[in-house]
Parts: sequence; C-alpha cells; structure tokens
Amino acid sequence: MDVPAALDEDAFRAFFERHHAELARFAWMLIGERTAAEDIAADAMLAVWRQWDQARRARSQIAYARGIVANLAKARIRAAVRERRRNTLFWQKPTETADGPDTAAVIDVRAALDRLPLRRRACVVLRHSLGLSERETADALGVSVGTVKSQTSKGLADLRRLLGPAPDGPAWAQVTKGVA
Amino acid sequence: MSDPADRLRVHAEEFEPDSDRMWTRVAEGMRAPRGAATAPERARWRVPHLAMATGAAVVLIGGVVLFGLTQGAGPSADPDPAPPAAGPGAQTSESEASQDDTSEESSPDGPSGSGSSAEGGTETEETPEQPDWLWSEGAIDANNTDYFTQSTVKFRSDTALTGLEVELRLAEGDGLAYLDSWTTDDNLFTEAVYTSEDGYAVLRWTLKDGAVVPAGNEYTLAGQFDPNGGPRSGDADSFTVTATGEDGETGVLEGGF
Repeated sequence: MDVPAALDEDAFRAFFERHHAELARFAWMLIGERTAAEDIAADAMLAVWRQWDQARRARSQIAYARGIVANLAKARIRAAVRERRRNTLFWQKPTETADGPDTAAVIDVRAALDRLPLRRRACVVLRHSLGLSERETADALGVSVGTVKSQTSKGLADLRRLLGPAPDGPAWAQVTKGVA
Repeated sequence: MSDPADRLRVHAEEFEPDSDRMWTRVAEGMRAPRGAATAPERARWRVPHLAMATGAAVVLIGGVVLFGLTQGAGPSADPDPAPPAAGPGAQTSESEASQDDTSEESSPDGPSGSGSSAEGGTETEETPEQPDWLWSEGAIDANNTDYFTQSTVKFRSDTALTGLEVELRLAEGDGLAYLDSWTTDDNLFTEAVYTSEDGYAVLRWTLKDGAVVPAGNEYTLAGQFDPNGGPRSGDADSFTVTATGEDGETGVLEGGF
C-alpha cells in the first residue's frame, strides 16, 4: 500500500487530466490569482492522491477535491485579510463596499466576485462558471441543496447589481478581452 | 449575454491553467515518502495531568482501603482500586484484536497503557476512567501541506452510546485558522462548534438530541485547518472523547497526535 501500484497512478493521472482545469478555474474565480490558483488546484489534486485508495468518505473524489479547493481558497483569502488588517486600520467588509454609492462603477466579473461573501461566491462559480448541478455544488461545499439554491440566487442578484445591465458596455468588453 | 450566469461561464474559460506546471507540483508531492513523512501519526497517550491526579487518587484510595482492612472492615471498598489495574491491559488486547483491519497500524499498541509507556516513563500511570469498552485514536492526515492540515479522531464503542462529546484541541501557534469539519455520520453528530481558547483551536462535537451511537461501529470526526505554513506537527495537540453508554456508565479517553 505504501508503494502505489502503477494502475493507481494511471488512474490518478487520468483524473488529473480530466479535472485539473476545472479545479484551477474554480480556484481562480475564488481568489483571482492565476499562479496561486494553479498551486491550490495542484494541492487539492495531491490531497486526492493521498487518499486515492481510501473509500473512507461518501463524497466522490472530485467533490472532495472541489471542497479542498474551496478550503484552501478560504484560507488564502483569510491570510490576505489578516495581512490587510495588519497593514491598515481601515477594513471594510466586501458586502458593505458593494452597497456603497459607486457600485455603478465599471468592474469585471472577477472583481465583482470579490465583493461576494465567499460561500456565495463559491456557489455561483460552481453552478454557473463550471456548470455543476445544485447537488454537485452542495456535495463539494458540504452544504445543503437548499443553501446552494439560496446562496446562488443571492449571488447572481449581487452580480447583476454590481455588473449593471449593459451587455455591450465597457464591463462586458473588459470581460471578453480577458483579465489578468 | 448580460446575464451574470453567462458571463460567469465565459469568464472562467478565460483562464487556461498551465497543466504542466500543475502536474509538476503534484508529482513532487507524490514522490514525497508517503509512509515516513506523511503517514498519519498514531495516537499516543499523553495524559500527564490526569494520570498523575489519578495516580494520586489510586494511592489515596489504596491507603484508605488498607486502613479499612487493618481496621477490620470488609473488602467492600476493594473493587474501587482494582479495576484500574486490570482495565488497561484488557483494553490493549481489545484494541489489537480490533485494529487489524486498519492497515496503517502495523503495531497497534493502541491508545492505552502500552502507548504511554512507549512514550515516556512518567506517563505509565493509568486512569481508572479509561474504559475498556471504548477505543479512540487521533491522527494527522497525510494531506498535511503549507496550506492545509486535517486532524482526525476515530472512536468505537462496544456499547451503544446515549451521550458523547468529542473535543479536538490544536495548538494555534503562529496563525492556525479553522477551515472546516466533517464526520462520517452527520445524522448522529452535531456540526462541530469551533472556539479559540487560550492559544488552542478547539472543535467540539456532541450527539444530536435523541441520537444513539450504535455499538461496534467506527466513526471519524475531523477538523480541517490552515496551518499558516506547514507541514504541521501535532505534538501539542490533543483530543478527548467523553462517552456515556446506555447503561449510564461514562468513560473518558484522552489522546494526542
């Protein structure tokens, strides 16, 4: 068991090929940094490998991996928040910012996501960026389907408000040309 | 296309992750020795305070009994000090027999007397509370990285349990952050309550109202943390399982990681 069979490695490699892009995108949509997102997704993959031969949980491997990505992203965001708190006394909750008077300002999807509470962000990303079902999203995040429904609809409403109505406006243009 | 849902989908596809870079990172991790550095550390018993208090209590009781005997009183007080001596041995063999199915414990001296004697001479005292019908073990998960660590507590009871508290204590050190928790049966256990107490991150699970833990099953309860730089050592961590059987008997097991 300590020496993993080649078969296991092959199966895991296939799992990696199938899911790494999804996991990296999920991480990126959560935290907004590409390199860090790749690292987080890779670490989640490694976590899957570590328990590849253990059927110890009811959740599927990919649900487990998505959950780890969400956890690592949360940890990273918290660390960043701690850092920000150290650096400045002023710290506003993202949602308060979103309710401010200048929400009409042009922002892209990524920046808009940053203003959502993390669970809501994770729900809208898994449901709509990655196209998962409500059930799959619930499994990944360890929450109920009802929570997924409510968080996703709130998240979409937030985004609608933040992104404004204009489909051909500057915000949309910025999205299509890509954001670092 | 103004629908945020569509924009979310399109936006995600903007990012083409570098799969070679990712695989390199994964492969490096895979090469790390699985057994040596990252195998879950078996629980060792670290119950100095309880053990010392218990030792003192045993001596005290023994003294009282001796006094009673010399005074001509019957052996009615005798059963009290006797079980502590017999209990741990019985528990050890029970553990060895029942741990055979878990591959990682090749030398399952288990969470009882032999574990503590292996660790240090000062901890050979056993507590009378340690029940032979209850087994538990703590481990740090193999997935122990800079960003993520998971501590698990397993337990099993030979009698059905009507009361239970599982407490997991992790030294916070330099910025340990609680992430998440899970159990292998959310129908039985409450969601873990997280608190930060005197430099320790503490997770507590209890039994849901009216729930009864069936005898003989093994359950796992786990806490996930951001270690703020790892991999993490569990040396300063501990756990406590307090269980009440159907017959009303309460047993306490303490352990480390």
